[in-house]
Order: sequence, then C-alpha cells, then structure tokens
Amino acid sequence: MFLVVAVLLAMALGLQKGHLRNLADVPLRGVWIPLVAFTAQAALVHFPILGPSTSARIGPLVIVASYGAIVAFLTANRRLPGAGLAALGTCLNLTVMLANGGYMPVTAAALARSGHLDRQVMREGNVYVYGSKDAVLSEPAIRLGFLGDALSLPSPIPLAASFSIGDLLISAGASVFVYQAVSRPRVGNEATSPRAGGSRKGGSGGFEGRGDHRRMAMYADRMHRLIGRALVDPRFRERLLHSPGEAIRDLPFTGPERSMVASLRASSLEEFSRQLDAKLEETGLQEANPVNP
Amino acid sequence: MKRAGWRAVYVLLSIIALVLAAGAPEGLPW
Repeated sequence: MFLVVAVLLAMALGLQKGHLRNLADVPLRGVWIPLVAFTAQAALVHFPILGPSTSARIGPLVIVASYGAIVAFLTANRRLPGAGLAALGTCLNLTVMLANGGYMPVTAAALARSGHLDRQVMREGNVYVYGSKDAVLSEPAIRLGFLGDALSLPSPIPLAASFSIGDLLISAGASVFVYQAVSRPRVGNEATSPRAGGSRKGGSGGFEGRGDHRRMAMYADRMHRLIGRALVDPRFRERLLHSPGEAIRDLPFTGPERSMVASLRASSLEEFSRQLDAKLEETGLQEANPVNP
Repeated sequence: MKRAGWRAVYVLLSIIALVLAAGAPEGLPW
C-alpha cells in the first residue's frame, strides 16, 4: 500500500504545478493491461476465489502471465518518463519470483518485523502470505534473497510491510511518471488564456486572442517545420507518431500547440499531417477569428 | 472536457494497478 501512497504523493506534488487532467494527454498505450493484470492477480493469487489448492497450483502461471503483460505494457510505453525504472523493478521482481517457484520469497523474520506473522496461510503444504504474492521460506532456502522481500517498513509504522528492491524501483518509476505527467504546464482549453498560453512561452500566443494573420502564419510555419523534420529524421518521425507530446517536449511550441499535437493519433506521417491541417483549420482559425475577425 | 477527465482517472487507475500488479510487497496491497 505504501507503494501506492508514494505515487499519490507524487501526484499531489505535481498538482502544485499542473492539473490531474494532464494525465489524459499522455499517449499511454494499452492502458487496460495493468488493470487486467492486477484484477487477475487479485482474484487468483491475492484472494483466491478458486480454493487454496487450485490457487497454489495456478498461482505461478497467473503471476508469470501477468508480469509478462506488464513488461509488454512498459516496453510499449518505454519512451515515457519512469517506464525504464518500473520495467527494471518488474524484471527484478519476476526474476526472484521465478527463482523461488513463482512466488515472492519472504522470511518469517521479515514478516515478524512488519507485524504480519498472523497472515500466513497454508496451501498445498506451503506457507503463503494472505493478500499478497508472497511465499514464506526459510532464509537458506531462498535464492537471490537480496531481491526478495528483504527490506522492511517495521511495525508500528503505518502501512508496515516487507518489500523488495524491485518494489522500490516500480514505485519510483510510477511516481516519476505521474509527477511529470501531472505537473506539465496546463494544456488544452484552459491554456487558451493568456496566462497559460503564449505569454509564458515567449509571446507567440497560439490561440489566446491575438489571432491575426501574422500569428497564424507563424503557427503554420512551426507546424510545417515539424513535419519537415519528421520527413528527414526517421527517429524523430517514429517518436512523433508514437508519442507526439513527448517528441515536441523540447521544441518551441506554445501550450495550446503542444496540447493539439499531443492529441493527434496517427499511424503514418501522411495521416499525421492531414490531422494537423484539419486542426489548423478547425481549432486555430475558429478560435482566432472571433477575436480578430 | 468531461471525457478528458475520465481518461485522466483511467490512466491514474492504470498506473496504480501497475504498481500493485508489478510490485510484490507482503501484506495487503490496499
């Protein structure tokens, strides 16, 4: 639970600078995968609905399949901040679990430190920790013990638990991701105000109210340069198509422009360009004209 | 705008689920 608390704290920090709605702009692929992976684990491993012996038998399969899905999810989103850290942590956890029969090894001593000795349950002759993916093993029997749940937040600290190095890395990666995603300067409709729009980005203004022809021409010019660079730089093109918001992070665009580019979803540069043109007309001109008809 | 809000909640829940599914601390995950 404290792993999730760390992520929520990172979100709270990010909210000082940004908005939760910024998360919607992140080009995250396969958002459903972690939800399915966790649901499967919860139903079949954490709180087995199939009976203790069945759970003990299929538990390792469920864990390996769900970890495989998580690794695929992190690989698909590898360019996003924190994904590498989380992937490393996931692989470390999976490694030690595979080395110990599919469950995360923990010693009775570690359980005693966190005050959870009473959560031990027997399944098929082995001892597990109820509500977790942990199996209780004696210290000499544990392989790669330093990667297991060897660290402890001792009782009576709130949310006391034993955890692994991998857990820390996963929590750190998720926290970095959430903080960076939430704390970006607000994009989207709110950014059409002068405060969040062009004045902070150097006055080019985007759509915030001075929609004259020169400004629109500058905007169109920036977009055409973007397409031009994507044409001659294959790596940039791939990044632009995969995660447009990230690809233009260091380029001189205004908040509304970033929002608009980040919202594009295209499988080819041609399609990206078409969408960009459509946005230029429907968003740019429409928002500019009422102010400066 | 409302849709963006739902998408943001969806993404946040997914990240929390990721931490719970990939992480393996002993004890209840919630």
